[in-house]
Amino acid sequence: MPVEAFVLPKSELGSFVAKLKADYEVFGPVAKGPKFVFGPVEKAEDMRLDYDTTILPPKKYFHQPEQDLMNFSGVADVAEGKKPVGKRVLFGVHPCDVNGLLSLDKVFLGSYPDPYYKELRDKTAVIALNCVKPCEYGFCASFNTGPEADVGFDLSLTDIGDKFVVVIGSARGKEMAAGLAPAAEEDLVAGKRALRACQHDMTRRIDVGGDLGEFLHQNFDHPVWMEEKEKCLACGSCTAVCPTCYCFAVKDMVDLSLQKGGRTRMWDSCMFYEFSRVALDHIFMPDRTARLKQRMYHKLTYYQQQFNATGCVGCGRCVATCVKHIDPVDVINRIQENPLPAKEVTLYRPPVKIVHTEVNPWEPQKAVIKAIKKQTADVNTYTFEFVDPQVRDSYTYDNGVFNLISIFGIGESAISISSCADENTGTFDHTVRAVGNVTKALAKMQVGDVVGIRGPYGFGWPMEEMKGKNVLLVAGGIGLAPLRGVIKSIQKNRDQFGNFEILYGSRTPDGMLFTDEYEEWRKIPNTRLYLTVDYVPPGVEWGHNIGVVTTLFDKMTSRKENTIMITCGPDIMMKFVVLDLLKRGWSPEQLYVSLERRMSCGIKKCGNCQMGPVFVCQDGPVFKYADIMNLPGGVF
Amino acid sequence: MAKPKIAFFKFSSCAGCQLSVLNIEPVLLDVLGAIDIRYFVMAKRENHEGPYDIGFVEGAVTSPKELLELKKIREECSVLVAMGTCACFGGLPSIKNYSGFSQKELEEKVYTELWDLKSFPAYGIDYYVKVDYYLRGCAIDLGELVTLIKSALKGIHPRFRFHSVCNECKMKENVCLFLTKGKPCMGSVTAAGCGALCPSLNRPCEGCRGPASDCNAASLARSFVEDLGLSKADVVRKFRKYAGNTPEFSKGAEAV
Amino acid sequence: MTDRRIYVDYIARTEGDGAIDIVIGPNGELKKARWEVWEPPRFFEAFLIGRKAEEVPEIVQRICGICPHAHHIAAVRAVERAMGVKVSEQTVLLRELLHYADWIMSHALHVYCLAAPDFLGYESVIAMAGNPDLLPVVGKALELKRLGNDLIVLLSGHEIQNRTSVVGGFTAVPAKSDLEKIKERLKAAKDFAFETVKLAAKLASQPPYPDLVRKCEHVALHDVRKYAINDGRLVSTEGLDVPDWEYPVWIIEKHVPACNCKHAIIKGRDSFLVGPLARVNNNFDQLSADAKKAAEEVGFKVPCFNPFMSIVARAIELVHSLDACVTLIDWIGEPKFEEPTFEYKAGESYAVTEAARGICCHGGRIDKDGVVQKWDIVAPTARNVYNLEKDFQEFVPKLLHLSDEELTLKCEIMIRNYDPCQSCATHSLKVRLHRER
Repeated sequence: MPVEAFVLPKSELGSFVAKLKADYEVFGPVAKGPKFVFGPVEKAEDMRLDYDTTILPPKKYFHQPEQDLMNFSGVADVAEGKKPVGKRVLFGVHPCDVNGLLSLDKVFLGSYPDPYYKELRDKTAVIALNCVKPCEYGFCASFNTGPEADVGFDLSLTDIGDKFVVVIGSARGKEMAAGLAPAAEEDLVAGKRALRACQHDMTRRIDVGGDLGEFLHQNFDHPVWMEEKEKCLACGSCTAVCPTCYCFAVKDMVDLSLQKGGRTRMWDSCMFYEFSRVALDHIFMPDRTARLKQRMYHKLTYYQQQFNATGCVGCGRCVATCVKHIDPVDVINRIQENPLPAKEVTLYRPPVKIVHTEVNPWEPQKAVIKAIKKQTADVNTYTFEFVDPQVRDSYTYDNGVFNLISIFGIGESAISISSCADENTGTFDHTVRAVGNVTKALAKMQVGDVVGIRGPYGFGWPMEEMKGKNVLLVAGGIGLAPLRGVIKSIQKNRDQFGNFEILYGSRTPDGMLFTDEYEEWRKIPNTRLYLTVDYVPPGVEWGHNIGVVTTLFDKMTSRKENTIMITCGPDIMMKFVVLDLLKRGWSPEQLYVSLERRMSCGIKKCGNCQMGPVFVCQDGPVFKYADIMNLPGGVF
Repeated sequence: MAKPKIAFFKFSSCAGCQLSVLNIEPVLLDVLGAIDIRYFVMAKRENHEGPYDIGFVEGAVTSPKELLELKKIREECSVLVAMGTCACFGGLPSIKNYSGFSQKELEEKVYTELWDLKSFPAYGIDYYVKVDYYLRGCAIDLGELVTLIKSALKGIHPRFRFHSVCNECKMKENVCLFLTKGKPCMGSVTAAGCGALCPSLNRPCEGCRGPASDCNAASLARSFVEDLGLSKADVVRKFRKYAGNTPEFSKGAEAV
Repeated sequence: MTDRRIYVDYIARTEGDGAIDIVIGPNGELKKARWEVWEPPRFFEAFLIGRKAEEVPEIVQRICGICPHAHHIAAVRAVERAMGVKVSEQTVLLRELLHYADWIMSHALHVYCLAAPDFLGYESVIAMAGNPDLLPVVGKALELKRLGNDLIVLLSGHEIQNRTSVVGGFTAVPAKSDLEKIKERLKAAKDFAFETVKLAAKLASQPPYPDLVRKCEHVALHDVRKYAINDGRLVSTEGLDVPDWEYPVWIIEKHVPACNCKHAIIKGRDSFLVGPLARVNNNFDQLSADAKKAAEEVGFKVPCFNPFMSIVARAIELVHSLDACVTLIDWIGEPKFEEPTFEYKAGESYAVTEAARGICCHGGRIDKDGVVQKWDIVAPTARNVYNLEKDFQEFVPKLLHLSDEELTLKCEIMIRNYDPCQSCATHSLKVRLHRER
């Protein structure tokens, strides 16, 4: 099909923009000192269509630096945080940024479509401006994301001297182009020639002559990364200016009444030390090298694995903004000069699960606390029931998945469900340790109080896989909570499973959960429960094992044949459980772990729980060890 | 819920951070209604003994007298807040720690009679006692102050993020002072929270909020010398200013 | 009979840490009257040595959180004089505007939050706000204070510590539209400023204050063309009239053996007073027409040697400051950005500004590489200490009939008249570790 093309003489740009202004708010590249930014445009002369690049990408108009998710006044009155947006045109977007938006679309409009992003995207027309001159730091030709935009625009412009060739990309674009003269063949040729010349002049390129992802995985431990770490200031500028970075933090803010407030998401960065911080100030990515690599790998390969979209569009902003001139092109070139020996690698592929909801995925449903049961000094089991009967009746979940518990004005916390998926009670349990702001606030609540809950999210324990097999369940501390449903399910459907053994360890006897249920579990046919603690305080009676949970492996009867092992507990415990079993000849295919990372949004958007290419919240939290054991950064 | 009992104390400092408490005029009366100020010499004539729920301490500790008072304050306050850069890191008074003069020489330069003057190097209060929260900045950010008060009222931990000023500067789309104008801006290693105040006003960051988490001051110091042509003495002056006591900025001062 | 001793170990509602120690003998004779400033040793003058010249204004503004701009502008002018840096007319005007904004904030703070509670019988403005009748006044006072703060923020980026003013000019200038908006608010605030003058006059006219007059030398900056704030000659009610950079010659410190502090005197004479009363006495003609009108309305006449009238002088200056800001905004017009530039040059010079509480002097010597060799700071509060003790000696015997509690309060009021900010007292050494109650 021939492209539908027109021409816009530069002399008529003023009237073209004026015409747009009648229907749209217009934004375009404007000068800021010696640099450029996207900003409001009153008339065509405000715009600098000769700009090289802008400080922030046009992302700021869609995934805004701050976006209200909801407003609330206590629990009683919760409303979504949309602000009315009019029709807008983004004028003069370079192809790299057009592609950046296409990548962001995969994040925000894929599974659990984000209504805020969607509205801003729907209301905004994009007029692309193809590049006829390479910019200083760009390397878009490496990813085919420039100098020409193929898709993702309503109109695209190519400068051919005294006029622009205008290509139509959508029905909306066609309307905008109404009245323009059709392009002559020579105009189209001139446009193509200009773009080819530009491409020819682009000297900066990443080209590893093969799959970039595999190349990077092979060179994960290359000394170059340590050199870059010494330079990197960890300032996060690179991620702030990146057109495809999406990570954000969610924060509740209230006024002095402490009741009225809002929940807002704000840009965040994996380059920040505190990015992966959870309660008790545990930080999952404390090492700067790990963070630097997470960013680079995310841009150059993980994004592709996660969203099947280009993570790096080669806009060059991260280079232009870096005080230390850390440059992906330079880094890759240096690795290429002296690569590590090639080895076979398998890139991680996430499970495919697309969820489309009509409701706002950010909006929690009200749930009332029906019962509270004390487990230990700081752990309670709460039984919740949704207030809305329709929600209550349609709510189902799998063992091992989690919900986000919301306390308005304080925040949200991802907590796994500790009741059994096979018990149709209309209620569900969360067993929660009071450590952070949300969980401590929850601990102060009483029966009858209302919280917000959204979920369930993620993949749970492989109940189907386990059927017909023996099950070894290894839990540590609070890690028993997400496994309690499994125990109950096996109890309920005892004949569907083989030999069943529960190994449960805790730091001290008084830290053990669900102690009043042990007798019942022991009564399940063909089931054994082994308990162990690390330490028994003086004066406490303890008739069971002492030692870490792996010391129970010598006592258990479970053998690797026809058995599935499921484990949840502190990372360090799971690490030794897995290593020990592998040493005993178990296969990674039969080991399932439930990872704990900083899960924040639950819907594969905020990036907080990323572990290499893995989104723990949506790809997990339960993983078959074989699927993740080859992650470049390791698992534990 | 009973109103939290609050106290404000001052050591070696300019009183600007205490004054900030009175600079939240639009919400001041609401705040005063929600808290019970038990000790605030700058604003009140009737001041009460402890214990207090929250104590705000302004200023660096530079003398035995102040140290004794600080220890007493710590005992009296359930939550202790270091208010402002002096209390957090030693602030400007800590410049003297690295001035190259001995304490005696310093004293002789300023005071003619030394008969009863006792002072020692200036440190932030956490050099001596446990501090629960830090309100950084010279002077403090009013937004953070109000956030902290609200968190206290709600009974939660405020989560201040101490990533770099660069990040906030990018949000404002400021033209980079370091890269574009060659100014020795410390924003990349300095903790955010100020909204990139100085760079937004075309003034390089001087590091008044102290080091950002896991910052790499040594690398920035090398860039100051290699890219901007600063002298070693210039670099030392940069890093031994507001938070020269911190190990992070010390690395910067010692890198070249 | 034993001595009657009044000891207050801290003076509330002043900035900083100080103490009063008054001992009255059995026959009512004053044995001791001392105001002790506990000055945390911060060594500004010492650690400025070796810093760069352009850092000096940034550092010294942090001597005091209440009058940072007075310190800053004095230092910036001293550095510019020493290095021969010329600044534009716009910079001069913007600095003046910034300093007047500081006065609005500081005077509103002092009159309503620090001084008024004394006269009205409240322990603090917080208690005052608890009275529904007074709440609206407190609200308006906070609004006025906010207005000063908003102007400060507009010009300098931050309420307390300025970010834009540097050696050579301003790194950023406000937009005209924002200045115009604030101009309207300044005009609207005038009514309340007039009310403030009336209130202050009413408070200061309560007995026994009108009788407490003590003549002493009042020193201020003076400029025949305008009310001096950032620049001018150093003048006094006793005929002093010298260039401001000569202050190190004329203001000297005398060691008094009976007291462990340095006493500031004018060369060849005695103690002196600085601050709003001294300014109004020396510069009444240069006040704005409305400020003069306000003074007239309450019967305020110069020269006035009643230190308790300081609160009235302060209120009159509030009216003047609002007028001055409006005029300055008109003169500035559309601020244009000028990149501040300077070159290092060896030199030595001094400069004086009028902090809200009196003259603030800075100066020193800079070498050819811009490194500070010596820096001298003379802050207003330190100047007033000696004069205040003379107030005690004069007035306490007149107030002996009062109860200890009453007398204590009156002594505190005497101190608060000076609106002291004791952080300013960078080198008044008064350390008293033994405390007796």
